[in-house]
Amino acid sequence: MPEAAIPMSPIDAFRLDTEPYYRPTGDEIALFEQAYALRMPMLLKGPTGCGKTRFVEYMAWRLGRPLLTVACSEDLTASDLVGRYLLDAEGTRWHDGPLTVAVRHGAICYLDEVVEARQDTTVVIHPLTDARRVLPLDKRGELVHAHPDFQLVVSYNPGYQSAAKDLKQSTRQRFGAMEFDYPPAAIETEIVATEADIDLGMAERLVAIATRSRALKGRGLEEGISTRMLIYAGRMIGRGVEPHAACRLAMIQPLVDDPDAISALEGFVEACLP
Amino acid sequence: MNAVPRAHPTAPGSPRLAADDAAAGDGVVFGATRLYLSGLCGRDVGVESLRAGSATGHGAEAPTRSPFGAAPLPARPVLLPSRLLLPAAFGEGDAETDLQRAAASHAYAHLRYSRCGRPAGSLKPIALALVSAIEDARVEALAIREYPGLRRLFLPFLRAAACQRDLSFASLVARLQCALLDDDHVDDHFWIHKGHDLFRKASDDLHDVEAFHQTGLMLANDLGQMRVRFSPQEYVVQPGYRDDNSFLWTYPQSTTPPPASMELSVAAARPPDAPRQTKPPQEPPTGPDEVAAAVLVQRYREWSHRIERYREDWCTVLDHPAEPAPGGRPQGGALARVPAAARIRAHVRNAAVHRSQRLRRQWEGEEIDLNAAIDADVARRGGEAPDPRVFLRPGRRRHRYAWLLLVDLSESTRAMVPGLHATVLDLEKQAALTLAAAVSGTGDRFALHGFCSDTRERVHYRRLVDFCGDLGEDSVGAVQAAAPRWSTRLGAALRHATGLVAAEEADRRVIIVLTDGAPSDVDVFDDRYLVEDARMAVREAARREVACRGITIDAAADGVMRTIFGHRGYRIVENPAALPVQLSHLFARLSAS
Repeated sequence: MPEAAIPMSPIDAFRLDTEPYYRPTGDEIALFEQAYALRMPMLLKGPTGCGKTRFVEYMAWRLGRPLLTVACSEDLTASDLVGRYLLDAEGTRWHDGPLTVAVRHGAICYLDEVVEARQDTTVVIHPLTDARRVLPLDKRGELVHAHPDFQLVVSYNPGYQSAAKDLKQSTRQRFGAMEFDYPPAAIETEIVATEADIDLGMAERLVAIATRSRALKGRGLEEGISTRMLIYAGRMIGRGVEPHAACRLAMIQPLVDDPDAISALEGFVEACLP
Repeated sequence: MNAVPRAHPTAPGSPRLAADDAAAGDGVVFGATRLYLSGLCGRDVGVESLRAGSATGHGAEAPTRSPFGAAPLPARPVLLPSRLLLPAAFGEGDAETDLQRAAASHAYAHLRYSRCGRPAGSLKPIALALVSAIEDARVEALAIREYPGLRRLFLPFLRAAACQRDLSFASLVARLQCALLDDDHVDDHFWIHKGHDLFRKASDDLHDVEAFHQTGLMLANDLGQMRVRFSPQEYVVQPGYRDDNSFLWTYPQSTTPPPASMELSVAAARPPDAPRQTKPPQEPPTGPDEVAAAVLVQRYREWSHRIERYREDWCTVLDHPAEPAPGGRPQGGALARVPAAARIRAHVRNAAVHRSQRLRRQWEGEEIDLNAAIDADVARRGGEAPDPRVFLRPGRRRHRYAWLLLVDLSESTRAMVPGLHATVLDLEKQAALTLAAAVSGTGDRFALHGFCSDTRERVHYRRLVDFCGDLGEDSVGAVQAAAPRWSTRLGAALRHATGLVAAEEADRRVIIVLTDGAPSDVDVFDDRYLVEDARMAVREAARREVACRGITIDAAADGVMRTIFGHRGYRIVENPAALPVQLSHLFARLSAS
């Protein structure tokens, strides 16, 4: 932010100055624009590292809205989202949480991996995501009406098969949803080459390794190698790291601990790299 | 098999059944290689040791002795459409990584690019050997085109095999193989030059199988004219990572008996839905001694999807208490073969994460407990002594689970699992015991119950290991002695199980149903009836805060499982051998939540 600029509202710091790189794989941009025009809450699902967050950033830039991202964890409470009283010398002072800031000032609020949050936390978004578009701050006795530009976007990874980590029907039926997956090989190659600034040939080989690892999903791996991991590996290779070592560091070791799976993945690396 | 052109890999009268027992304890699992090959193929392809695989009817006792009583010939891998069998020389488990990886890569090349089981017709042995060798080189060339790193993997083996430079058939073929893939290979033998040139010429289109076939025939013909001696009994495929090529051919003589494993499984397996058509077999222990034991009789309603309402008091569940088995002997040799049991155990333990929660009103901590702070301030302003415990601290506490593993004991679990010399029930038991042993250290409540049904009047429910019971030898014996019988009336068993697990003291309650397919019973003729009833039973359980999950080895049961347990409530284990691992994964997933 330039020194001279005076913040007009608390959310200006969350505006994106430069265009994030995003390579569309279908009509997702047009669809999202239509959804935003209706201010429809959006649910993005897909495996980790396939581009959900990048897509939201890109759309926020494209729509010219600030973006407040909250990474959800199981410790995230409702007050972490909506705000809380803090103590100071005068007594207590209310502090808006990121969701409240976005609601008041008209930003896109992105709750990343929303299923990680406890279910009682996700309930606070209910009145925001239907026709009411309000956020009750019960501790403060205030009802915040959403700014006309406000939109809620959440993401989650449906690959987790667990009893608790699932969205309740009452939550999910409030959203429009888009499914994301790893892009087709040709597009993924292009993405890796662009993001990591490496040549297409090397990017293609990295994508081939990832494709093989994704075939092992459910057979020994929980998830295959994601596009994000490929970009990390590609960047290391771009800096002159030996490709095998880069793949091991950025793609294999972070993914899994099982020695059998590591050995199989190393086999793919050996096979795919010339 | 080593010699390519032998009519059928199995010598008649080989001591297969005797070998099976010996093989059963030898279930070396090539975990890494299996993953590698499955990943390349994009589907499950098993990798097993050849001796254990002798039950499949393809592997003979390796290594094969030559007819002259000379040194035994080195054994070669055997490739089947869904499995790769590795001989003992490939090391135990995951030793010899490169050799196993090369074998798996070569197997992938065949599976991807070769046609399986071409008729061998009247091809002479030497022609079969040469055509197979050219096919090996062709598919490897294709695989290398796809995965350039494979050349680096194959070359050391090819070069080592090509070291011996004489004019024997084996040496010439090994040198040719090396020349075909190694551009740096220098060999001045004219036949190898010719082979190399022919192969290059045909390589314009590596998918043109017929051209390579002709190349092989031509080269074989040349060798014949060179009077190179070829003895099918002494020839083994070179280099050692390549399979014996029995994958490529079907031999004309069809008088040989079908593989022994098929006979075995046909003899042992009754068709899964056999009890539907026939009266259930009258087995001796149905009568007095069962009733004499303290059997708990309970009636349950059943959902009829036709009339869309419950039939009250429709099913009778006979609950047999846990009882020590009368010297229960394992029903199959496979029980000892828990692959990497220790690892599964560690996996399960690690997965039993401790959930963090916030401890309120602490003396010290990382955050202010706002409610406590306000109370303190109110107290201070009111002139009282404030409570100084105004902090929040993250603490950890683990959710306590009650697990009920409900095992299908119906007749259909008697079916043999192809290639494992074990029945479905054996695998279920093995999986259940592995999980039971793993859970017993975590402090969770765990029970292992089984069920089978003989009409709605008699749904037998057996408490193999009950909640408070420990996993002693008695329980293990009881589990192993449980015999398959009758049919699968899942809904009634689920309702009974729900009642039992709901009575347990725990934060979360889960029933995992381990079954081999769709529910059925002899008095039900509507396929959907029991499925819909089971679905209702699962929903009733959910209402009582008991989660139900299903795991099955029957890929065809996908739709049924989805109906009963919901979109993400079930798992299908394509490879039955992976059942214990998959069950542990499911368990870990659930307990991590």
